[in-house]
Amino acid sequence: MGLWEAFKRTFRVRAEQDKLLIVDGEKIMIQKFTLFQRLLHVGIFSTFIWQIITGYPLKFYNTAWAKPIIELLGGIAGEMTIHRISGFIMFSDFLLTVLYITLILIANWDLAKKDFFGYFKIVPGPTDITFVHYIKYLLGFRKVPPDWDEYIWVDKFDFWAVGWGMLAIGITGWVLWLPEVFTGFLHMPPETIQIAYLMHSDEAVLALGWIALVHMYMVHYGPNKFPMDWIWLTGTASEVEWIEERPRSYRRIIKAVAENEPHLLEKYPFLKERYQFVLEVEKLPEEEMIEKMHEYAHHLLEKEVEGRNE
Amino acid sequence: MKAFILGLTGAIAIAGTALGMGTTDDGCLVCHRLKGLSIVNKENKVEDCSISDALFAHSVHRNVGCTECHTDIEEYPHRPGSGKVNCATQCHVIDPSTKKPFSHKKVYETWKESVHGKNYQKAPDIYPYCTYCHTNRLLIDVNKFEALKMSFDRCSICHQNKEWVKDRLSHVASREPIPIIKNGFTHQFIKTRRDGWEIVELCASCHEDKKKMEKALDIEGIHNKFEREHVLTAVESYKVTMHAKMLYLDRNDTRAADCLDCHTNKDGNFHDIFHKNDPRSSINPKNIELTCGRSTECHPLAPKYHMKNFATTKWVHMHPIPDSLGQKIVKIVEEFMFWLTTSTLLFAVTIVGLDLLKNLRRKH
Repeated sequence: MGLWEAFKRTFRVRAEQDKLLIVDGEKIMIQKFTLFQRLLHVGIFSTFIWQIITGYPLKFYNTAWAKPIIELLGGIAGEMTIHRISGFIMFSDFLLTVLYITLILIANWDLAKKDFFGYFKIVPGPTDITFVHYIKYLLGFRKVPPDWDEYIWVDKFDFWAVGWGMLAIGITGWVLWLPEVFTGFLHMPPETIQIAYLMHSDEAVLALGWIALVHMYMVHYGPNKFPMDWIWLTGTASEVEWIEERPRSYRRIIKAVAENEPHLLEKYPFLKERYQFVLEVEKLPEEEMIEKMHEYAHHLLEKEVEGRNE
Repeated sequence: MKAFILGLTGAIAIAGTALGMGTTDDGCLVCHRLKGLSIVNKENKVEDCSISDALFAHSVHRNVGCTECHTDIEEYPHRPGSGKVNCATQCHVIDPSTKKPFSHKKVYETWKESVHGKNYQKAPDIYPYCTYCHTNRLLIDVNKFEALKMSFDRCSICHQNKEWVKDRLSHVASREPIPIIKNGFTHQFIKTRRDGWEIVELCASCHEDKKKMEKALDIEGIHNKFEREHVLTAVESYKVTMHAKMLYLDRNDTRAADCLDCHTNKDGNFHDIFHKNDPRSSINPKNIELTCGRSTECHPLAPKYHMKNFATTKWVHMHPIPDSLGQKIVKIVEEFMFWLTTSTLLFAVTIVGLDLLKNLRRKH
């Protein structure tokens, strides 16, 4: 096997059927994140927490809590050291993500040329009409939630916002860390430091505001997820969750299993049942289809609860 | 009789202490040491004129006669309100480094030419005289500090006059941080002079007073809108800089620049504060690189590699005043970031609120 083949195999996007896991021969799980993706997330959020602890006392220096926190961190020298080391790790995580995406793009360019949005689902694309459906649903103009795909609007927003954030807060962080290098050795104009300072400071508020309000609501303290969605750790979601939260992706996965690995349907009758259900609901109008899928999810949940009680 | 003997004993004791310390008060303390000695000033307010003789005996100016600085006072008893000090005068103390009578004249001359002194005669109630910033500070008691006692013992090996050694050591220690020894190691340093933040507060006591500063700008003849805004917002804009935050949040860390670090020249006498267009000013484009790199704790690369762009950054006015194209661009970026942050967070609150409501109303 040549190097190119090995590279391509390593960075090939997962086939839809590979996302389906059968646990103990009776339970379906969906794998959303690979181990490497989860590690990238752990790197970002753990350093983010440190950046907030060490950065916010500076931003809100005249509050009652700023001085005690700085003291706990070992004074300004300690605070700055932690902030810079943590920032360095965070930026490295970002660069690693950029490299990872680039390699994936290279290894899957043939697929991208065929159906870009179909293979690169994290990129905002035509299926994001679901966001309009979502707003209509929230405002009462639609009865059921949208026909969400594998990555819903907030997944995409979180992913690309971190990309923007890393440019806005990461590069400006470097400028503030090494002002002499940027304005002195690289001869950037004097306004560079001012812009870096303002952007770094405002982006910190934007990042924490968004994470605390939206991301944490969606994965931690929202009524559906409290106390937390364990997917960040396990990488997998239950079948019931996936049907309710990502119905379009669920249907595609089941169909891909049926088409590409038909022997599994023979081996596991419950898979065959799911496949038949998917074929049936796809004949219905969209809103009715979602409603039926939610009912099916509840039916599966009830069955699971009954099974546990027996 | 008992009261007389007690009083006499007390007077002798005080006089003895004063003589022991080499204090010379020209006899002024005979009256001024009386507690409650007061006058009613021109504004009809009671003004305390008493001086604690004990504190004076431990002060920086303990060896200088009162009338050597209060040069207007030539009669006894003197008229009220004539007590202003003349800091440019020569006193009887001999400067050991030059063997000449001691004087602050050189510093006084610098102050007189500086932004603080040049218009002082026009508005003495607005501009700061020497005594606005400088007080007759107390010396350090060397006996209280273990680290100083060690120095004291060593100095005494050669210098036999222990009182003299103690006096010199107190003088030096009053300008330097004193190490506190615990379990044989330096535990912490006690500051003996104003730290960076105290200097900021001192400068801010006038520069934050908008009315006072507007009067000063009128006297200076500065009418340009942007230039006035620079002066009027100097303190509030400095306070949001990294320099200010470092000084404020960690008082033990004095590395960051206070007002004097940038507005006075390297190797100057800390009173040479001039308008930035004056070639003598530390923030004049000609000198700014050197000012940024005035010490190894600052930005020593700036003068070494002539980092003009670095040095001419608006270090104080981080929030831009749009007086040039560059600052207008910064202003646009600032506005963009503000609206981006505000609109995103408003969107976040709305969407989470709506989603939460929907979830709570949803019938499972």
